[in-house]
Amino acid sequence: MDAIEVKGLCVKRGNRQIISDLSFCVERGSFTVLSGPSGCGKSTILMAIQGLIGEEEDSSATGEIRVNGNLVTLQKRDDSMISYSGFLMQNVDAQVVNLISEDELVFGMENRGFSPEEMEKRSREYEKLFDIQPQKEVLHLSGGQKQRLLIASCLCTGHDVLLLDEPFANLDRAGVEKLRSVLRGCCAQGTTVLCVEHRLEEVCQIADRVLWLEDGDLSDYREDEMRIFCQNRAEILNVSLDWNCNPGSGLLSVRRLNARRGKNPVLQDLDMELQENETRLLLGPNGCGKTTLLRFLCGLSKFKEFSAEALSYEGKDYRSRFLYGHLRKQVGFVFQNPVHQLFMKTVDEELLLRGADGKSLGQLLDIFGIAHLKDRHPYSLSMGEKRRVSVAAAAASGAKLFLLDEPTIGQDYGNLLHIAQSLHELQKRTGNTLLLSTHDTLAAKLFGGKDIRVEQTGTSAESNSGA
Amino acid sequence: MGKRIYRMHPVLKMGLCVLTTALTFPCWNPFRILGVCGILMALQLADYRPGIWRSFLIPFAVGGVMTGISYGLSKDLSGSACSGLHFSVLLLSSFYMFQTSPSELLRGLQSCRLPDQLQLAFLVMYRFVDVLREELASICQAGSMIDRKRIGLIKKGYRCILIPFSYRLLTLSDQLSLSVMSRDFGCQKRSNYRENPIRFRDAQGFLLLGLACVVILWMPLK
Repeated sequence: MDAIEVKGLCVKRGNRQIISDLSFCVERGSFTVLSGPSGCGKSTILMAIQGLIGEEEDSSATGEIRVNGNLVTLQKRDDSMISYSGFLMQNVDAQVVNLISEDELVFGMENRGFSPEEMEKRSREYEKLFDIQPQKEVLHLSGGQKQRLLIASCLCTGHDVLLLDEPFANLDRAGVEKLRSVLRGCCAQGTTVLCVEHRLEEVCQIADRVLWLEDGDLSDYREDEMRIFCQNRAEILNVSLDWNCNPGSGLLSVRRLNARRGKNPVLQDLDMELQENETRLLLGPNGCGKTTLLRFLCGLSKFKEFSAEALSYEGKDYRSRFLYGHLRKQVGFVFQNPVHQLFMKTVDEELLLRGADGKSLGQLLDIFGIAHLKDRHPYSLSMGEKRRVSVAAAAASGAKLFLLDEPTIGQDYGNLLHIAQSLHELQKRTGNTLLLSTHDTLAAKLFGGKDIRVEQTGTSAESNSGA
Repeated sequence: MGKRIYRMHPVLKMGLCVLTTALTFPCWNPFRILGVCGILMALQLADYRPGIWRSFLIPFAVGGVMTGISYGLSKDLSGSACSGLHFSVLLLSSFYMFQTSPSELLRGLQSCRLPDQLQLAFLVMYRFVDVLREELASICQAGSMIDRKRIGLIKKGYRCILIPFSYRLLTLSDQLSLSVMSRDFGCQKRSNYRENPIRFRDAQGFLLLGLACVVILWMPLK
């Protein structure tokens, strides 16, 4: 018997048909990857299998889904209906229920009525496995650390079917390796994994098959065919963008930066220099302080939470409390979640708000490929489109330094290439400096340039590897 | 400082907060209301958490502003002070109530055998306060990067804070409750990693503090 059976699934959200007449099965103990372009309905399928589709406003579904032979409801859930699968949702910030790591880890187990001894045993095991500090406040965790915590919390409930929505996003290399080996181990013991993932190269080593969903059609790839398909998809990124190797004069200089988050020191004695017209990548493990550094560089840190021997931008010293706040008006910053910085009713109003004029507005819309969206409300766009609008909006400010916090999370290959090409074109035209933080190996290769590696100790080192 | 001296059971804590706020509203003597504020502040200090000074500062700042407005309209100092302090009591008790972690609350509610749906509502409400605080901080930071000369102060407040915040408010509450449901909350009898029953000292503290509030508010003064 198959672990998951989906027959004739149709999902409608409002007047839009998201999925129509979709059928597939997932074999017991297999690792199946569900992939496809952004917005094709992958997450919706997982929601339906988990029995949550009826809980969504405006959503209606028909068809039949069975997990381990049990019929999953597509209507509003009965209060007593137990889930037949463990589920990891996409947005890490909104699904952490507790404030302390340990409480979050045992939350699912408490709901399933595990004994305190069993919970203790399993939580210790997964804390060790995913490097989780049990008494750490969730609010002080980075995106990657929250992701690890949620994965551990999902795995330790012991479900024999796991539905994972982009579990590798946010994770550093060590985290990806660890998760791969844990999932491989789970499958070997008979657990069935259905995983939504854009980065096929991350999962094809452990996957048994890839289901590719595009324009409502599902293609099934296995074994060699699957590996060739994954390679072909990733080859879209085999383009060499000629990032400028001849940077100009010094733009930003930081010496002996010490920063903390709350009471915890994050960055220690960090030095960095940025030149005009260069592209740099900010790499490092989860929780090492990449976002803290970017926020510091664009004037968003609390003044009392850092100290630096030197902080100069365009030759001006910004160390005083008064001037430091002004830095945020000089530097372009793209937040990890683009929704935080979309304010206006239409895309072109958004760019005009940030300082674009009649001429540059058209140019930016063209460069970022969003001209056809200019009259749309930013909130009505897909995640990839929102990301492009937020980058274009930051570029509209005309800042010389442009900081991007994980701009490639949750982006498919096409969107990733589009963002890289747009930023490349922008740099060619305006000569600005780009500093991007990322965990994504493919994105790092695509952006090339020099790396600034922030170590776990919060210190920095430079290299030329590009990935 | 920095150590929790006395942590009341979350359900009794909630009861005490509702009780003190309800008892204070009919009172129009500013000194008596200040006495209740003192009790709530002492309780917060005993149940210490980092950044507690904000929980003292904000209620009195809001109370001060309300007193000022009220005095400007009525020219009655005592009445204005009372109306301002009523807000302070409301906020102080709310802050004290939210000094409980969601898991403590859940275990507390469970020990009182409250229905699952009520537990879910409280859980989402408690967690949501922190989620919104984080979101608001990020949205305000993003908004602070916009030059207010381009849009005007009032429109900036509306467009750059109120609109994105409202949008996140609606989407995040859905996601949080979906997350709770997808993890089998309320599907079967829940177990507790750490038990949190109502202990004798909780009941004792609740009665003594409730009594102290009643005495402060209703004790005859010469």
